Amino acid sequence: MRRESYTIGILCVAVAFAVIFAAPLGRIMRQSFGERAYSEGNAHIAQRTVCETEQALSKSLRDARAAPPAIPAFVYSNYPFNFKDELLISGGAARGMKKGDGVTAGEMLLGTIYEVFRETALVRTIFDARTRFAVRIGEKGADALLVGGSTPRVTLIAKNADIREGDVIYAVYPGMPYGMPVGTLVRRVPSSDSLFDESAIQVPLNPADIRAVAVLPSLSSE
Amino acid sequence: MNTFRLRHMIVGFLCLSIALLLSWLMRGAAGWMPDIVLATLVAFAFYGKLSDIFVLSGFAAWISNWTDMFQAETILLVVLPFAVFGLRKTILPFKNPFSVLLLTVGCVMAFYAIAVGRGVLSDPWMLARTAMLSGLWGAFVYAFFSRMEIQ
Repeated sequence: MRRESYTIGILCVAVAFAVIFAAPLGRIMRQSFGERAYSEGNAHIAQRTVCETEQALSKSLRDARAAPPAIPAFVYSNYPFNFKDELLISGGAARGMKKGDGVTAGEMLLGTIYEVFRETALVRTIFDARTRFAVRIGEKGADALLVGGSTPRVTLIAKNADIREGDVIYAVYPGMPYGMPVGTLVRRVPSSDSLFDESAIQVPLNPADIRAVAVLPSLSSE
Repeated sequence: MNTFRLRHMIVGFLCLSIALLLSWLMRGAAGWMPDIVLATLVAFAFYGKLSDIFVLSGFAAWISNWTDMFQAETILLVVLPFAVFGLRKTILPFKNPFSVLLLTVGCVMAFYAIAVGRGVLSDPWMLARTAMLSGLWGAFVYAFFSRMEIQ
């Protein structure tokens, strides 16, 4: 009985210690879960790892297409539950990021920064149920509201708006360059109250696959 | 450590690890997942002792945390199994898979109501299917534990 209490006691202390003092370690473990272990010579592995890392990072940065003044940043982790979609990215206040900065991946608008730490920042993406911002659709620029979610959609489309399936949807977001592409219109249907139309958006991004992003400094001062 | 309790802990840890792995795989592939991690912890709260529940829920919170700071979701992953443990010890009349299913559904609803707030109303169908599938998983894990106890 006494031995049992000691064992559980030690486990409790270990978990409490991990949760309080080693929080980033859990994140790293989650990311590397399932990665295979190598048993080759250390020097050779180190050299190969450095080369592979450089290749992988430069590919990620090319994919993110971060051209100045955009700040390139790497994705550390994703939100692990439903409804919200957040990314923890490198950079943070130390790299000049601030709340409201736009975040793109492959020149597509992915979301905005909503919390900044010293060396990291949290991005709320368009796949987050709390995301809302104004957009325009197609050549005529029909006004609409983007509503985030696992399947983002555009709502409040005027009944007489001259738009059709496949039209591009772009952001009209305060502080960001006008016309950042978000996706394309899928199928226009009447809204539940029949006063407006709405449509799902086809977004050519999978948040789980994004490894690097570009942060666009907000044009408006905070 | 008594063999029966140790066996429960090991099986609980394995179930939790499977749930974590399945969640990550499913979210990566489908962009959505039932909350089987929370469901596993709720099912375990019907069997484990307080300290055992702390170990498993603390581990789940630690590995699920996606930022360098504590977030509401991380804290809820620890608090909700304790709430279930409290209910089990005080007012819960039945201890069967159906009770686990109902409590898991309740926990998932509470989890998102607190963590996301009004955002959950944007997709009630997703909330319903998340809660139902999580409840089913919880009932399944509970049935598994029950079977182990009989053996």
